[in-house]
Amino acid sequence: MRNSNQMRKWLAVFMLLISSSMVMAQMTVNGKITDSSGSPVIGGIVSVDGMDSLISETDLEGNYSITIPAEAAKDGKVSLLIMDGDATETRVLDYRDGSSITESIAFKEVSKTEQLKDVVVQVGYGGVKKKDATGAVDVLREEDFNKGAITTAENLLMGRVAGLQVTTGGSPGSGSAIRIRGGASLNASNDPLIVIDGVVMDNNAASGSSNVLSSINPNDIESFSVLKDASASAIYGSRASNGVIIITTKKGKKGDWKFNYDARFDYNTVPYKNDVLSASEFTQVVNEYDADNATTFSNLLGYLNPTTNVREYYDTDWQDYILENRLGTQHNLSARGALFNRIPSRFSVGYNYTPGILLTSNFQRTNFGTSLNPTFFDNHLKVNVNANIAWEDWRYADTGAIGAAMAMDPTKPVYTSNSNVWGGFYQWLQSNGQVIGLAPKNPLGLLLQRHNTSNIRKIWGNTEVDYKFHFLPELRAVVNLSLETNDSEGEDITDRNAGNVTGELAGLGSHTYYNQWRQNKLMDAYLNYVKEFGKVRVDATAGYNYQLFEGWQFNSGQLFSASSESDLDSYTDINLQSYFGRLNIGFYDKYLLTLTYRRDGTSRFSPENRWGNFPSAAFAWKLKEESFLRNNSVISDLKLRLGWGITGQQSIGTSGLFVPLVGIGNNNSQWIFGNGSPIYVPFPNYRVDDLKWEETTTWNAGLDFGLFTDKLRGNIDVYYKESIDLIAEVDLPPGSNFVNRGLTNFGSLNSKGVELGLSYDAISQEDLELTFNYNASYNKIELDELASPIIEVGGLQGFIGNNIQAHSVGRRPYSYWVFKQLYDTSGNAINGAFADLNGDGTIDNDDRYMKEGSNPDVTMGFLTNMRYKNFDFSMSWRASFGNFVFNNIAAVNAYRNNVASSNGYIANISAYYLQDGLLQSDVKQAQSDMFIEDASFVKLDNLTVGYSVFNALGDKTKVRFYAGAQNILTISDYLGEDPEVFDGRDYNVYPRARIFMFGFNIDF
Amino acid sequence: MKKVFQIQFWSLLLIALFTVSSCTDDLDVLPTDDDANTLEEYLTNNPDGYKNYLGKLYSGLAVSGPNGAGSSDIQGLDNGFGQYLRAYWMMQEVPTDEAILGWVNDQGVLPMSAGTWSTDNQFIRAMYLRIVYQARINSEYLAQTTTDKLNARGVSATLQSEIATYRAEARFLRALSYYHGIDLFGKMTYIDENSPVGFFYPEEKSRAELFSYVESELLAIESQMVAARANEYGRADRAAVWMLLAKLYLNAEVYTGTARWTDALTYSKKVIDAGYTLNGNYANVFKADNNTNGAQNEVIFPVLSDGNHLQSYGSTTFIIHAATGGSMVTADRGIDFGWGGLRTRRELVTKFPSSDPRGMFHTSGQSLDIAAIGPEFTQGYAVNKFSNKTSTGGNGANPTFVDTDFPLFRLADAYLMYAEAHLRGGGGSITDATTYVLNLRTRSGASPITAGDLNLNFILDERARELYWEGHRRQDLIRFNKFVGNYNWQWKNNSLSGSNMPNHFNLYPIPAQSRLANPNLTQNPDY
Repeated sequence: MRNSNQMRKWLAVFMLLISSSMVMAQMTVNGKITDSSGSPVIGGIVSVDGMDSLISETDLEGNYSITIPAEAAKDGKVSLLIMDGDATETRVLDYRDGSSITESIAFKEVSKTEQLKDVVVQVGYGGVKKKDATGAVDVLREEDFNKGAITTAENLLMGRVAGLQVTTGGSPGSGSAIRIRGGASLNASNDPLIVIDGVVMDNNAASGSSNVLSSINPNDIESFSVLKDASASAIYGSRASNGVIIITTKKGKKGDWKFNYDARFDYNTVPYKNDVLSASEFTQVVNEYDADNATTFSNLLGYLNPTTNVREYYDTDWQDYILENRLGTQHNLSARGALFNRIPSRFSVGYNYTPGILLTSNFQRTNFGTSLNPTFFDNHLKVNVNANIAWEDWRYADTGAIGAAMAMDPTKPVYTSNSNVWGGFYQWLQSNGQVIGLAPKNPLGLLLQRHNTSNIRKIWGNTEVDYKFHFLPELRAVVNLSLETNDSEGEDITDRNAGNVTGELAGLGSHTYYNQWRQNKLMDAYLNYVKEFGKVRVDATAGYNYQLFEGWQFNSGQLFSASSESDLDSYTDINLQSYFGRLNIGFYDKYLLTLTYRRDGTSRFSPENRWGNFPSAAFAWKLKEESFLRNNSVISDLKLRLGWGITGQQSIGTSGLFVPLVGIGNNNSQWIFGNGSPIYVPFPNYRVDDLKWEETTTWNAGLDFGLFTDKLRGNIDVYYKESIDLIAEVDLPPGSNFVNRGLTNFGSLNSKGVELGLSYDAISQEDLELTFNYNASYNKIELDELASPIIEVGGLQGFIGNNIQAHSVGRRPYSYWVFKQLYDTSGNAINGAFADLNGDGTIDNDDRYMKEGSNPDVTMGFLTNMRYKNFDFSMSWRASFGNFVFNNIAAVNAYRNNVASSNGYIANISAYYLQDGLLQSDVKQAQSDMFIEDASFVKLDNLTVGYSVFNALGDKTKVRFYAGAQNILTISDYLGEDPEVFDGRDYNVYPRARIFMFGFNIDF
Repeated sequence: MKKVFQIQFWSLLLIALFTVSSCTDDLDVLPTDDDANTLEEYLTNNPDGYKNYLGKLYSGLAVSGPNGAGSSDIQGLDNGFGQYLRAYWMMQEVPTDEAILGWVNDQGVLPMSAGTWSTDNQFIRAMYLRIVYQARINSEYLAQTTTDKLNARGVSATLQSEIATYRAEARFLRALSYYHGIDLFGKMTYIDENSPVGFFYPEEKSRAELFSYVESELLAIESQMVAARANEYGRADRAAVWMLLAKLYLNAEVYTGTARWTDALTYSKKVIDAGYTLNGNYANVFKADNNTNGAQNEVIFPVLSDGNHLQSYGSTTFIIHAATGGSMVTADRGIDFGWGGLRTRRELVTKFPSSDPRGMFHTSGQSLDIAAIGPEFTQGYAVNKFSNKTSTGGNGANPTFVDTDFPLFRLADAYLMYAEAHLRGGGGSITDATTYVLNLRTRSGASPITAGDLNLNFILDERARELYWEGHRRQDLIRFNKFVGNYNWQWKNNSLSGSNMPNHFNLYPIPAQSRLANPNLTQNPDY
């Protein structure tokens, strides 16, 4: 109290300095505050507008009293601000010197719709009320988030926003592919820009982290703004082609300290195993192979016990040994209140432990977050300070173990009797006792004999100073300074007796480590001017942005190798600078016009091509405000939006290509003159001086509507995007440069789509609430122009140098490029027989055709929330249609001849063999269209039930118990295990765990 | 009070503007890492840089890329597949009677083994791109070391005279690669020191144009090269130039339609007279220590290999690992494990009488015949010729990457070229020719021959016996008009007992992908 009193004194002195009049007179206001049910509000806050130092809190009866000095009066009036949690009310009173008046306030129930309309949407360098938004922007607030076993932030959004696709892998803390409207680029990044509290994040995860968002505690997030069209995102210019996700974290609030503790326990279970031949099936297939080929591979079945000299036949399901159900947990504690009774603050601590179902892998995160949000000088100066620290600890499992478990002979034991050799793990051996290099390695050994870990410390935060000019309150100056620093270290150790350490490392093992440091500094400064001139409202913003990315990495090299050496790499700095402006003009609160402009400079390009200009324009018409709709009882809200804009893309992996550079090779690629010492040799780098911005132009038309007093709300958007000067990696004319494939601006693509978002408050009664959220989007991307007619992409696993996908003009990117399989009369595929599509008598690449693609045509999300008395229930579904998957496992691992290897071992094959019956593997067979499967799916992502107990732990407390399941059900025709495969090639995929969870959440 | 704020505001704005304008300089960012330099900086600050850069030109033949086996100068191909010597070896050996590769799961392998390749074959593409890459970097070296540029960087007169030799070697290496282009593709993308760097469509030169270009280059640098056997091991000298001229002339009839037997004999003779001596032990020429065990006296130009410092999955690492499989014991080969792919065909094996120790085959568990081209390593004899064991029975420095240098040019070849040129009317003497062939056979312990045994068919077979797996076979067969027809071997033209390949297969096709990237490139006839 002493401190806060002192502070008040200082503030009073300050106010004396800045106010031009000095008065001693005052008045007193008192009264009682009640909530919508008529009960007294305890700990409610009453403050006087413009007098930040004047605060009164309500007592146990809801009473308050406040003494107001004369200088608080403006034009003879004072305005009171009354707060109860998130609800606010204002009262304007006449100021009368020396008087004492009573003003009681009863909070009314504010309709959800009213709240929604006033939601501030972050649009970059400021916000706009949802009802005034002109661009295609979706906002998700806490109540809209996904429930369930959420480990990383993007999973709160998965399936919730039309046109936003999140595909997360199965490993713990796994990264996600996030695509807004399918992305706009071919070779440059398709990741959206992520901005957290004004800080533009580095889109590359720290070394050893598999996710850019893994250090963010999902519990600290208050809202997401997803900027989908260019009219909204062009304020981020060259970085916004793929859309922008703006994350706002929870901030401090005035009033009593409120605490929240959440504890959750997740039981991660193995959802499926890949179907391979059992020991008996395998034995039979090997025997059949021998019979047909006059070979003796069946002699290799079983394990010759060296002590008894008897051949033992095991029945080992290798996948049982590497996959395991495991328990994880998550704890979060947060506190929100006014520090020293003055500074609205929020503190949070979180701990997360997510184990992988593939043995040994896990992810742990500990984080602390602080947010201080004081205001000074009668709210003229607002300061937001956010500071966060997170520690991530990862242990990675060798995912090669998944493939090894599918290929390892099931008649072999897991362990041998001799624990001194190869760590006791059974391995395929040569006659001299060495491991057969090309044979599958013991899958359990691959996991247990390797320790691959990384630790990351990430510190990030920002200070935003928002000053409203005293002499010109319409004008604000905002300066935001931020810093993001990643320190990471990692270590990868393999046992000396592991079967997969070969060559010079045999018998020694393997040990490497690295350290990495990366920093991202940002400064934004902008002026914002808002004023109403009669029926015209002007909101103008202009500013400057500076951002610098720096970093280095140290790699130890292989410590056990004589020929390996360490290396310190300093990354080339990336500097980005921009000037930006935005003008919002509203006429009669009906017609809204937004114009933005950004001029961006990047250090990645040569001085001639460095700067790019990115304009946008949007118009919105609030039809509901027109006389012909104002009194319409069905249509409660209607707004038409039209937008156009150009955004850019400069996120490529390299920079400085415009000057002649030489790299220096490492010590494994040296040269030796005479018999002297090896020397390091330089090599010329790719040189291109005319590389420039990729540009995407977007047209968007949208309709926001509300029906039946906004019980049903929704929006429809249609868009067309065109990307030109694609930064594409193309085959260069041989000899023209020092590489034969490099980045060039070549090619264009277009994408079009429709999006629909609906939310319906079916029932909202005191005891029963029921809401539905649904969204659907259609997206189609087509290539218009490419450097060559067919660009092969998408490597075929198991057949080095071969691809299964291709880009081709007029098709969608990553279409499958396949042979047309021929079938016999009974419908079985004929091994190695394909249609001669061009009729030239030979089957070659000219007979391949384009079939479908990996991106879905239509995606949907569905969420329902229900509350009945103290019970709550939530369920979310997701669907994807028109996405095709190349079943790489069936295409490569399902041939009978794969059981036999000329290198002295036998290997298991996929159970697809029992169905397809293919005898002979072959590249063309693997590229057959029979393995391109429709992987459309409907998934039940989450089911959660909760029960809340009020006031059990004291007044104003709430305890909620909840339980649920994640990744519950998948409906699909896909023959493989999980149809959700991001790049469309299903091979050695880490299975997504099915999670059963239980938790409780305490508010106190 | 308001005024104070106004002043503060404007001064803040001024400060902000000032800061902003000085910040735009921050956009001028250049790499700061010690492994990435501007070329000018590198050459100005490192007087050794010129010689180091020369090392890159040589290593272009030996490794796949700048950062060990996991890197490649060629994009869009497996690192190992795209290595120069490995691609060259695939072109010259695998479609012939000397070798077969069974990895039919890898794109393009079966067509190379069966002689049924098409324009999309990745090994053919690898070779084409490698040749052009060598032409490009050698030309860049020449463009960056002109007298003007050297003077501008203040390079001393002593160093300038050394650089003159380096430049001659760069021109030799470029001529060598163009010669490979002439032999394999006929026409090639043409790049020289005057070519721009950037996005443009280079022109193509015909086989005849390239022939006279390579000939003139070699004649021009002959006097600038270090004298024969006087340069450091691994670097080209005057004898390497002679050897290349001899090979160009020996095949001139194939390349241009005009035979140059006399020139072939003249330059072979220059090499022979330069003082090279056959190593006493044939097998040691192909062992891990062949840079020091005496073999270096017979090798005119090697492609170096070093288990620790020159690592790749190409070159001799490929030749030795891929040739190991079946019941072969990896420890006997000085390596960690075999890749089980390369074998030979019956037609090579039967050229060796059992008394000829140069036939170094692993037969245990192997069949002489190949029932089907496939991963069954046991079909066809395995070849033990190259090894990562040293002459004293030790191992190379690293079991994964071998130490064995590849003898691209060696004295035995010069002997046999002399004999052939003589028999074809290039002059010289039958006595010399007989002596040279006898030298080879005596050294290995093969039965002696007389002048009467010398005829062209004998020469072709003797070249196989002496030089098999050294990257000569396809060229030799074509010169003897026995590649596409007139002589068949198992699985030639993808038939068990062999049949003729189409006539246009005497040249490889220009890769389809390269033609898409450069519309100036034309296809060879009938592809």
